[in-house]
Amino acid sequence: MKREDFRSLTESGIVLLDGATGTNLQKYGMPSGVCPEQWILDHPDAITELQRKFVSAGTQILLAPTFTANRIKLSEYGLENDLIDMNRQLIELSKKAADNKAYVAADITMTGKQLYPMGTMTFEELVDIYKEQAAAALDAGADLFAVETMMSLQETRAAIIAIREVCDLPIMATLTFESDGRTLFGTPPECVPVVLEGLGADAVGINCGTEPDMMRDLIKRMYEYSRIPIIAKPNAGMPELENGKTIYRMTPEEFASACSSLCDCGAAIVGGCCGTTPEHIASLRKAVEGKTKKPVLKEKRRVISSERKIYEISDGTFNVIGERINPTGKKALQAELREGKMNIVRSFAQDQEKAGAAILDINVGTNGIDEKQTMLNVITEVSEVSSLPLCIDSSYPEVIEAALRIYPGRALINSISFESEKLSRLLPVAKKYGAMFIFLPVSDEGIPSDIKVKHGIIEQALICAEQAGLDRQDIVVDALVGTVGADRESALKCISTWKFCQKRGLATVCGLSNISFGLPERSFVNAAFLVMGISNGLNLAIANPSQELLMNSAAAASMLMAYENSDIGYIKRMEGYRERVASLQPVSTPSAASVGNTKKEPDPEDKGRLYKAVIDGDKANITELTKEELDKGAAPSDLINGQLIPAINKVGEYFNEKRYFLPQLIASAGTMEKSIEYLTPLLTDNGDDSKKETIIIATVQGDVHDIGKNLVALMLRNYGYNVIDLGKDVPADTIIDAAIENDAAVVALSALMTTTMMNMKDVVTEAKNKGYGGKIIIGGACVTESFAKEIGADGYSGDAADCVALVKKLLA
Amino acid sequence: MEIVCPGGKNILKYLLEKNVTIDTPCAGNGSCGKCRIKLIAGDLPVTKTDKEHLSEEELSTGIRLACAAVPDKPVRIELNELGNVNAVTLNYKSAAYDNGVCGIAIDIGTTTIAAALTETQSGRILDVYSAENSQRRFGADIVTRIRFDSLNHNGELTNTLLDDMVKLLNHFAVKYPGIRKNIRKIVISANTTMIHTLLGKNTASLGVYPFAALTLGGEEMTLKTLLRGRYSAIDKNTPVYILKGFSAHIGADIASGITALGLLESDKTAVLCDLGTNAETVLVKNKRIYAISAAAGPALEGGNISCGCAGVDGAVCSVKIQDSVCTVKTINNKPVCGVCGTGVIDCAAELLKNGLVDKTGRLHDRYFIKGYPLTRYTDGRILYFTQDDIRQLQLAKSAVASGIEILLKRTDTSPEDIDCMYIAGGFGYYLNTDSAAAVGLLPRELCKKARLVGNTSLMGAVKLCRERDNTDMYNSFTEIMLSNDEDFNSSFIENINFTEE
Ligand code: B12
Ligand code: FES
Repeated sequence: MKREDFRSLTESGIVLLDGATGTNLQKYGMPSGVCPEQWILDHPDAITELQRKFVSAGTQILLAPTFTANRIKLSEYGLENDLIDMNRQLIELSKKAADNKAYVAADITMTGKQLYPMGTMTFEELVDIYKEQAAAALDAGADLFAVETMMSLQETRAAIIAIREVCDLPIMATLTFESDGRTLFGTPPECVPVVLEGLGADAVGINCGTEPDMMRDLIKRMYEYSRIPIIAKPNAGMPELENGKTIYRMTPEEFASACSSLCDCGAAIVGGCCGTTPEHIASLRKAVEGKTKKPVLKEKRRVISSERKIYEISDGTFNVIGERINPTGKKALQAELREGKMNIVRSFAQDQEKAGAAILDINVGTNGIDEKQTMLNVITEVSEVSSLPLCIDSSYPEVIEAALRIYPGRALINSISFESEKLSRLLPVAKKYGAMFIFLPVSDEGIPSDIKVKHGIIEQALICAEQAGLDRQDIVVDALVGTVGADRESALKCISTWKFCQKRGLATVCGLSNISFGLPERSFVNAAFLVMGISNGLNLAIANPSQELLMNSAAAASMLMAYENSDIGYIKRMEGYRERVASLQPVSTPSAASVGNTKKEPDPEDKGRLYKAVIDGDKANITELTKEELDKGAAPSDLINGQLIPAINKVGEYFNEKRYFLPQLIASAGTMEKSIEYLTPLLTDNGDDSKKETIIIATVQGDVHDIGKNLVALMLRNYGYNVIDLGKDVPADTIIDAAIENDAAVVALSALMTTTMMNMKDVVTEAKNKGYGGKIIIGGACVTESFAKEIGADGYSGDAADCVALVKKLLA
Repeated sequence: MEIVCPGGKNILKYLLEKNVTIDTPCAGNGSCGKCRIKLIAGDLPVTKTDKEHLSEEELSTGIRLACAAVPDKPVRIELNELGNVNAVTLNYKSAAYDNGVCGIAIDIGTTTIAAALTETQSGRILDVYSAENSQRRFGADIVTRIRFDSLNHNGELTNTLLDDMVKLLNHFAVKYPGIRKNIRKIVISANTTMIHTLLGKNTASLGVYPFAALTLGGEEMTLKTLLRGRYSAIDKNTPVYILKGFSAHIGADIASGITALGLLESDKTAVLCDLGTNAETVLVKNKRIYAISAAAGPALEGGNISCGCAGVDGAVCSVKIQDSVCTVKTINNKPVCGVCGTGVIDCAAELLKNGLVDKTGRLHDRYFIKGYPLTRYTDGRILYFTQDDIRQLQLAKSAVASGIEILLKRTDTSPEDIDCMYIAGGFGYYLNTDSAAAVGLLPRELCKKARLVGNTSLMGAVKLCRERDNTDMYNSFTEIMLSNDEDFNSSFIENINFTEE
């Protein structure tokens, strides 16, 4: 199939693809975990029957089951040496099933291995892997290629470049989108046609991932930016789990009607992915039969793109190309590039994006470096930290070519001149990688001083570009600003060139600062010149976006030109501006005086004087008060259970809520301790069930923080436990020996340093070795619940109050 | 920013490899809950660690902790990168370099590394340099780094630090090509742990009681030996001198500060306090040196604080509350990104002054639940100073105040006896001493005599590029161990409260 044939096929009406392969083959008994390609070859009848059904349902293009027949995937099953043979056999199977009633596309997808910088695979390695599969498919007689279920735009680029370097068959490329409307790797739909069309894709679109309705908006956005047909291959609904099996619920009718509405959004090639059967395709055929499809847009738009964002250089917009990533005159940057470091580059990229640049210029030309390699490294780095599209700036064509090859987007070349060698070398490069370019009207004779000659050169260049297969929309003309010092009319000459270009549908750009060379206080001249540019239709300027005067003037001028949304742009920018210059940001809060001071609120559950004394931490009077209560005839155990325990519970609550802090907690606990001390001898011995278990507590070896531990011990004592405190910096064996000797029910350990918390594990091990049978609980600021689990402790609590509850629970 | 992470790899580890620094005060221990990321696309199952630190609501919006996250397949996440810390170096008048003989003085701090290029003859400073200590990604505080070191034993801390050294030396060499063969001496001042990592020594024993140091410094060697085969543009035979410290916690940085200020050469009674995660404080009295190290915790550097951050651009560094209106100032007037240590102290002081916090540190009822609204982030969200933040400050300020109290008590010194208090360190430089006195971080009496002196560790190293150090110093040193002090615990508890003016 020739690319023209594909085009006329799609022009003749909506084209029908097939449905799912994987989910249908499972019904034929394909188990999970096997190499699908091998299984298909072992059970050829299954695929033949399935694909025949698709063809009779109306499929016009069948996808051969070569989905993962690439070297990396096959090698997972030790089958990499059979690659050529397998691709051939699989394609032959599909051709047999198609029986000349449908075309057969070789199917290609992701390898599962990640590209540098995320993984270790280089771009060229990946291109080679795809080339190998493409060549095998070509030999086997595939009619065209389908690159599908791609999550990464960059890997899709690699596949398309590979196929194009092998043959000239049509290519359909589809990506999979996540619920946030972008691919897993972050690409929004409009980037896809912008980047892939120029590389040589014949149709682009979406498959898998989502149900048809969720694709509507994505398809619309793709359609708006595409001059090739759009593909939609949704799932039969979202996957749902039923009895451990994944199922798709959409019926053929539901699927068909949802899919046909995708055609209204701009899809021209439709089919089904996971969960769609031949019946789904048959219904779909009925639904789209006779439907008039939206025609593919003819007009090319001036759009460049990164992997994550497009930028359209349309008339009625002005924006800045950030110029700072350029080592000329920047010693620190030069030194970094020489050392292979990227810190400055990264921060320049981020700063410029924040300051409002729309595109970033990348120039790494300095002595003492390998410019090509450095350019590639910088592009990789910048693409990671910034989502802005890039402008590739170098005087060496080979650097530009290498950069365009690995740039995961559609770049702007800076620049191509009319010098014969550059022109003939770079126009084909721009074409091959589908880039836009800045045109410099400089000929072999140098910079034309006569404006007519300059305009003549621009006309000529346009013709050359069109001959090379490029369009006028791919060109941005640099008017070549001269300094006013050398020629008083140089600004006026620029204006005339801008007008000339605008009439011919050519976008314009200019390097600003040259105009003011040699003048005092250049920033005013630059700003004035910029405003003149904007009012005469200038589209882009190469400048430093961190200059407030320049950027603010540009925002204001765009607004006065009534550019779309430029008023909002101005207002937004001014908000940011105020923040950048203003230092004071008042927040008003109600005055304190009007509400009086913070007081402990009256406790509605006041249970008596001892209760109150503990809450207030009234250590001085507690013994007196206890005596008085006893004199009044209260039983000691009632005082403990009716007042002291409820009070310390309340205090614990306050502490938990952060209402009370350490001094308050300690004062309260200490108050209670004193009262208990007085009451204990008076408790009648016969009710001996109140006698509680023994707890050993210690700060572990290497750590001498004991404030928390002491507090925990104090609290536990107040609740009646027999606490033995071994102190701080206590070795594991001492702790466990004491626990066994005293028949302790609980060992409580404290540590506050990340370096000593590991010593808690030693205690747990020691306990095992010596056969200690009680519980071990741990705490201290650096300790966490999961650490407790990790070392095999029985419990953890974050503070002293919770510790009591924890012990209660463990001993219940 | 957004970033795609590969499957099968711990996300924090991957970010470290990519040199993307996020806030990880506990260096992946899972205890601080600060290493937040947001899942945008793909799958990241909720881990136990996530559950400990994050609310249901946060989990459902895709917030996860990077140090516990290992995706099966690639995922796309969103994160906040950590900004650069504003380092304080030295005041100097820049001068042209005329090919004379020079020295390089270096101060390796836990957070930042600072250096000065100085002319040997005149003693003039030609240029200064500062950069973040790249070890920061292995933990904000020293103990966390020691733990990292003892768990991994892979020399990672040393490699990182030596790379930083090379960067620093090359910086000067590129800027002043003439100095390459003209550097006569490199003097390095640092705390004891940094000296260990610089020399490739095992730091494990520094992390646990009784804090045995394998070296306190004092080494002399060539640059070649120091850099262990790394290439730098400075002549590899240049002698390097590493200053000597007193103990595991009172390091060469403090000794260098004593030298810089000439404390032993004077008859005055003086206090030098280096405020930070640890407040090392020395008292020089009758030509003797007494020292304590008070572990304040990260609050004074913005750690542990809900909206806290280091002293980066955009950190709130001063606060004023008047007539119920709160105004704040940020570092370099950049958009608000959090509150740094001086902001924390200022804020607490202002709340106290306005009666919005009581003596026990409890916030006014009106603000008790959500916190006091300090200012807004650019996206309109309000930045709250919470009850828990005040609690953290209380712990920190009490540790410092109690440490100083014990230091004075054990040396029979009263605040009136002291002639001058020098406050050193990057954090101390921006401190509002009135606020410090108001919250009780430092005794009011001493605050009246306070001088903010900046990076005295670097100043001392500059001085020693020309002179030999005073070795007598080491014989007149006494460390007062707070951990064994009988009064420390009760002071600590008492000082947690605020005092009324
Ligand atoms: C006070 C203090 C000290 C005092 C300790 C006095 C003493 N006798 O305890 C002094 C000044 C001596 C000290 C010394 C040191 N400290 Co200190 N210290 C602190 C500080 C400021 C407060 C700790 C505290 O007491 N909190 C209050 C108590 C009540 O809380 P808690 O212990 O967590 O206990 C609560 C819960 O965790 C729980 N709990 C506690 N134990 C248990 C046990 C069980 C079984 C259960 C269930 C619950 C439980 O209940 C308690 C109440 O609710 C913190 C910093 C901070 N802001 O947190 C640093 C801190 C803990 N110290 C630290 C360090 C590094 C040190 C030193 C090595 C440094 C130095 N330069 O001196 C030395 C070494 C001491 C040693 N060998 O252990 C670091 C640890 C860092 C890390 N990543 O691990 C911290 C975090 C400060 C920092 N630099 O960041 N320190
Ligand atoms: S929880 Fe502290 S770094 Fe992850």
